[in-house]
Amino acid sequence: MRRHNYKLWKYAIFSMLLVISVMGLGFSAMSQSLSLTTTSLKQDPIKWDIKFSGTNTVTPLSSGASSVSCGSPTITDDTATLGSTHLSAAGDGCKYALQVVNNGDIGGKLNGIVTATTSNSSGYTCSQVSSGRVLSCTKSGDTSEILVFPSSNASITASTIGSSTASTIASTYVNPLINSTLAGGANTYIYLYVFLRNSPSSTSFSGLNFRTTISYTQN
Amino acid sequence: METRQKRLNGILLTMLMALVTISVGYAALSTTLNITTSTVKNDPTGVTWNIGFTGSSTPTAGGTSATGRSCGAATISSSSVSIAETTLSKPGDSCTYPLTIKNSGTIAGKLNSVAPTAPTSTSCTTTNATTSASAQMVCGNITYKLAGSANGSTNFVTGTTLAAGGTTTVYLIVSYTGSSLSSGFTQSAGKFTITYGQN
Repeated sequence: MRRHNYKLWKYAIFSMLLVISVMGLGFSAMSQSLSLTTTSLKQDPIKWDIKFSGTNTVTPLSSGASSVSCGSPTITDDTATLGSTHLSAAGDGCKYALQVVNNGDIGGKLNGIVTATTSNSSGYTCSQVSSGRVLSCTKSGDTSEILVFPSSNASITASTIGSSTASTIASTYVNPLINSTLAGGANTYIYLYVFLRNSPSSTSFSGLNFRTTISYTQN
Repeated sequence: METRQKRLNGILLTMLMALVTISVGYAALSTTLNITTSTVKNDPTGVTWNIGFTGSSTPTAGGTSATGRSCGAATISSSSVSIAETTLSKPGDSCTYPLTIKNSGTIAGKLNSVAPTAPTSTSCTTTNATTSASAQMVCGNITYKLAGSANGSTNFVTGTTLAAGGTTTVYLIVSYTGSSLSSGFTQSAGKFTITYGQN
């Protein structure tokens, strides 16, 4: 009897061990690894190169009888420094045609224009209109106004802008430059205008210096 | 003397009888229990384990101009995906691959791990997936990421269950996240290993 029970115990234990082994083997097999491989990743030597080409023309815009002097600009890759500008009568102005080139591989998009004074001892008070797209300078007790703005339009004269407000000038003549694109290998002109609107009560003024910053980003 | 012997014999006999009685009584208070398994079956026809990639994948290119950007084709088998040579050259360039994982078995699976293996040709920062974050590798200008959405905003995290018969989509996003341009460079193979276990 006891020998019989002992045999039964042996078979029971063996069977249980077999079950545990089978369960263990089955559990370790239920696992799956998936692989995701990139063969190779290249970076080409892309060039970003938008700058002033150095090519430029300066056009005095005179009301007729007055003497207008538009100084020649000194140009580097990213800076065009205008020479002294002399405006004396209403309608006088200077047009600076500055060529911009894209010698890079990537198209650029013009996304910012800001004109601001760098120093001012002229007696005029300047304000940035339309987030700096037009610089308007006026003088207390004087009806004259100095306007500075860039444009893609090559044909603006004092008559063109007439008595338009600075904000109207910004929306009409400056804003079209925003989001304009310049493809790799292409070039374009940006025209910077300086106008004297209405004759100043004082025959001369000086000491007004400004900077126009034009920003391009990847297109 | 004889009387004493007889008395001694009597005591011994009594003790023997008591001992026999105790033994018999103890033997009677004992039970043998048997546990017997009749058969243990393993039914391969009813239970299957099968989780793998399925379908095809067409990459979506991101960024501005196509100059210096091309997305390599994806070759898909059940256990692996291989992306052919890809070119990303400027900030914002990207290639996004939607990949479908299917549980064709009868047992639910659980995502146990997602582990990146960096290209050997460049220095990388690698991050395994966790229960709250995706796995990714940042190798210089290039970031490789396994995400739960095409825009990368949803994480592909561990601990998620893939039910029997179910599918899930994981997005491989390879992007130029550097801010400067390269003078020209080629990274060797990068790899992600996705491991599912029984749920």
